[in-house]
Amino acid sequence: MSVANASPTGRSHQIMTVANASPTRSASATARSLEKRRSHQVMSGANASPAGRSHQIMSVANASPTRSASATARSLKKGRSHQVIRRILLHIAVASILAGSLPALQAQDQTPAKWTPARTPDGHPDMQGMWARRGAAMAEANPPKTPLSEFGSTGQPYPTVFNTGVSTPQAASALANRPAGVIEPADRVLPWRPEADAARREFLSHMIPPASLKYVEASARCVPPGLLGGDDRHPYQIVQRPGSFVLMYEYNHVTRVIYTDGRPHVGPNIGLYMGDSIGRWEGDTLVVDTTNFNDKTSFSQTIPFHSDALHTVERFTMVDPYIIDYQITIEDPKMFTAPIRIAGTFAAAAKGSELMEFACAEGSQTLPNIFGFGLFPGQ
Amino acid sequence: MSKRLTVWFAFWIFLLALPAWAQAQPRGIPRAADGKPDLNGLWQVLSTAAWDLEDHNGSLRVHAGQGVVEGGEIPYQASALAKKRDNFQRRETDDPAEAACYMPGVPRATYMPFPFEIIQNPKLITMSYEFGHARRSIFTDGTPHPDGFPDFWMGDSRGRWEGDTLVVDVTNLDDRTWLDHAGNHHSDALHVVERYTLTDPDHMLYEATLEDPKVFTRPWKISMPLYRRMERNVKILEYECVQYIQDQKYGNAKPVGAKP
Repeated sequence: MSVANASPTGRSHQIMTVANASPTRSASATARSLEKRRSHQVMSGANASPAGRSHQIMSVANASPTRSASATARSLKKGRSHQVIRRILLHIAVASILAGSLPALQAQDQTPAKWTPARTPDGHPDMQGMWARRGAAMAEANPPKTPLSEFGSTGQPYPTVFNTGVSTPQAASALANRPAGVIEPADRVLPWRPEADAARREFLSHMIPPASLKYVEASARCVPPGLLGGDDRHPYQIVQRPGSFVLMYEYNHVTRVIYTDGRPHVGPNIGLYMGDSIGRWEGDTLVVDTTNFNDKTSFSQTIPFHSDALHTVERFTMVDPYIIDYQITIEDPKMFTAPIRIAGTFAAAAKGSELMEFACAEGSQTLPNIFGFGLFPGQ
Repeated sequence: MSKRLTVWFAFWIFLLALPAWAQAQPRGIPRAADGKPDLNGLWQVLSTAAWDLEDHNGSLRVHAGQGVVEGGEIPYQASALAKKRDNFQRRETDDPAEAACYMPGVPRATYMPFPFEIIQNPKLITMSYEFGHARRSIFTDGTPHPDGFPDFWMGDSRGRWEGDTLVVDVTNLDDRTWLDHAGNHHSDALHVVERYTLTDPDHMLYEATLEDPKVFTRPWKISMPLYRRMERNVKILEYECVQYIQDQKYGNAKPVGAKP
């Protein structure tokens, strides 16, 4: 907090930091719940808490009930002749598996055994569990200076008790060598349209103190974070079902249900904070295509908005039990003249971590402090 | 008639009778791989409980409705009933869910007039509500409510299966949520037991028992059906009322200390 504490805006941001992180009590109650949360975390780290233990392992997935049911029906209907066909098919399948594994066997001669992921009953890599996201940020070269970066809402670390998303030792060591941030363009100088760059610099100059509601930092308004705006000091949880991949954020309790059942995007006139995501598996990589964004979330502290023309493609690939390689391609033709590629990592979260309730609007005093009145009468 | 022919005859009779036999059976409920009822999907109420759990007449933008409280009325203690009446008078400005878009709590999240999605795995059932993108985790791994947790807007939920019914025990509920728009309320001692029972593939019976020794004279129960949203490709969208309310309240306001 290097900006004068006397300024109402400065104060509000400081309060925001505390409110953001906890289920919204008064300061003393917050401190109390911090204590409780800390003790819970410590307990679960030691596996003393049954609740803490329970959440990290979600690897038992739903098998497809429809699949087994229809298989039963089929085998009832079909006669003996089909058994012969089935046997032939089986032979073909075995043969093709053997053929497919030949190159892998040859490759094994030169390189150490390749790790293969555990699989869900529908045959995809099992990424279920708790994760900490790292590195996925629109970190540009030579960003404009903004006093925002000096504020607590994003510039100050949370107390360590909130780091339930901290990665495991294995993941932590691997993180050191992982790509992070903007990887294309390689020099991290973003391919701005000049008018868009000018517009965001103009916008930034009105943010501290905010000239009006429009210029209040998105996270301070408890806006759903979009794909890059999430606060990665909070963990994520992945749950997989046949036909969908679910990514849950602790931050602002966002849930992204990414259907992989071949359905199309929602209609073009629907605009969403988190966009409309549909996924497909390319081999063992989940590819998520997202459109239908509104223009109300931010890319970063220094890029406080994007346009409604935003289109993203994310790729999730499990590298080992502790690392999911995460890449996102950003296309926003109203802002940039070329796509931007960003790399990041989902690293396995510490054992015993779990999603807690993140109450933002319920506890934040940011807007009442900025505008001098609250949402309820008498505030 | 040869024996062989008799067998064939019987076989064909059996085959022809099969559809009729199948029709006579009640439609089975979908099941997950672990044999439990499969609750996955989008669900929504068709009731007026979000406005008022009890019998109520229509008024501007409020549908008339028959109550969902077993026995008709909520058994308030005298002082708590006075508070309910006071809340009712101030409901347009003071209902935390409607006036500020705070998370609606349990059980109100279930009967808000918005869909919610159930994401079911053997050890965790997640409910993701369109209203304010609220979410709750229901742990079905046999763990009890943890000691020393603070209160949460959506409570702490632990579930178990009783036959084909999902029974969810909810504690740690924040006392600042209301049970409906009519000002029905509770304290931090509220304990809710919910029961979710599939009655056929597309309908679920929702029951909730509410116990709060600081506010009610005895436990009481509500029940209503949940309907599966069956539109093609239907999904949870966004109802970000936090943002809509901020726009309405502060959209034309001037920040304190802003340059003139």
